Amino acid sequence: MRSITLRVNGRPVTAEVEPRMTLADFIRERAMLTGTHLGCEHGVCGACTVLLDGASVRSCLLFAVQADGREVTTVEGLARDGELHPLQRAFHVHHGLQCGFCTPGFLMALAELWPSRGLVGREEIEEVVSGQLCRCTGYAGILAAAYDAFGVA
Amino acid sequence: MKPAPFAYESPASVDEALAALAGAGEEGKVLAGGQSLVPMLAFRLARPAVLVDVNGLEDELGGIEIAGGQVTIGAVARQRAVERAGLPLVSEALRLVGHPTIRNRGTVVGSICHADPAAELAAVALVLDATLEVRSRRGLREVPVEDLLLGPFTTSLEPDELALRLRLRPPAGWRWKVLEVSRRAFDFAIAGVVAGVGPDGTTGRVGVFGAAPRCYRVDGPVDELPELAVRRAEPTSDIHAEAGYRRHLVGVLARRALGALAGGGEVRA
Repeated sequence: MRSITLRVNGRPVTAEVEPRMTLADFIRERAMLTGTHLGCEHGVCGACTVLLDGASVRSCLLFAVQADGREVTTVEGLARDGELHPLQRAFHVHHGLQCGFCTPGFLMALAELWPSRGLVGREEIEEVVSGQLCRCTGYAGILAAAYDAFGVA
Repeated sequence: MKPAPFAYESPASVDEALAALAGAGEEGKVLAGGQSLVPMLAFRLARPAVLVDVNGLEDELGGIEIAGGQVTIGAVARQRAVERAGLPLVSEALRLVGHPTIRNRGTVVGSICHADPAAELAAVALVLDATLEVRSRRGLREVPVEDLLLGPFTTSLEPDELALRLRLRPPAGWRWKVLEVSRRAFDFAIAGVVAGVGPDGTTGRVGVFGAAPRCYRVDGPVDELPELAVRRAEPTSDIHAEAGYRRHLVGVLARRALGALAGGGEVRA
């Protein structure tokens, strides 16, 4: 067991963990933030995507011990002061979700691009969206939401 | 779908990493980007007793250098960083490797050492005469990627060896084109080619991925390359495609890629 401390959405979370505990399980079972979803647990579906020091990662493909001392942002970290993040609001407006299981992953993968908005075009958005699986929407609503949030025609 | 227990080592230097690998004997495994290894751990296709995490060796192994016509990529340089370095051919090929999130963690050297028969980067390494600098406590050696790749997910690396850097030697004046067919954008290729034409416009090279137990390379006159590439193919059938279709793709993609280089135009697979 190792004692590790991660900053999750700005809050330090310390726990004793086995090296084999994934970052995804740490987020859900130690930080008690269940917005990060686990679908396939082998890197394909993208539901568990979070930001590690601002870069998107599959949290099922990283061990929590590897993120010791680093900053993790989950879907719970998007909204501020009770206000939805513009990406979340756009998903709401454009019906970018149905069952919602994949939504946190889509939001966090797109959140990586958020600081570069203004420089981001359709190609970058589609590249990111193609890395995430959604089995409900057919992606049309998700793309409409993302184009709108990023202000691309 | 959870990895079996393992001992975790996070060395602070290459020497410490080599000591950890030597100590682990046959039971050690190097963890770099983890984008292929961790799924194998989750499926328990791999059950190493010791994982040696080299991600802390960024200072020693994180570099991307271009000098004297040679490109050197350190073992923990992320695919995303290499993609953004604007290297000829390598950066273009990386746009087809995994999804952006996977490239944020995945490493170029890790992909080569994983020896996936469908890996774009292994074919790129072959056509660019790449060698891998490999170290263990027993010594240092420079292994041509041609001799590294033995078969599917099998290399000539010994259990105590650590790959430190990949050296690519792009020949001067060559032009390159990567083409592949995959089920979705950025997914594993069903088959693909890395084609190059030399400055004389008549001699070339084609690297092939996804059509044999390991990536391979053929050299020759541009007109004969598609046929040479098809002849070397030893494809297998799986859920994504039949062997005959893969063999067919090798010829079609090689012709299209070489045609695009001859005409200077863009083509789509």
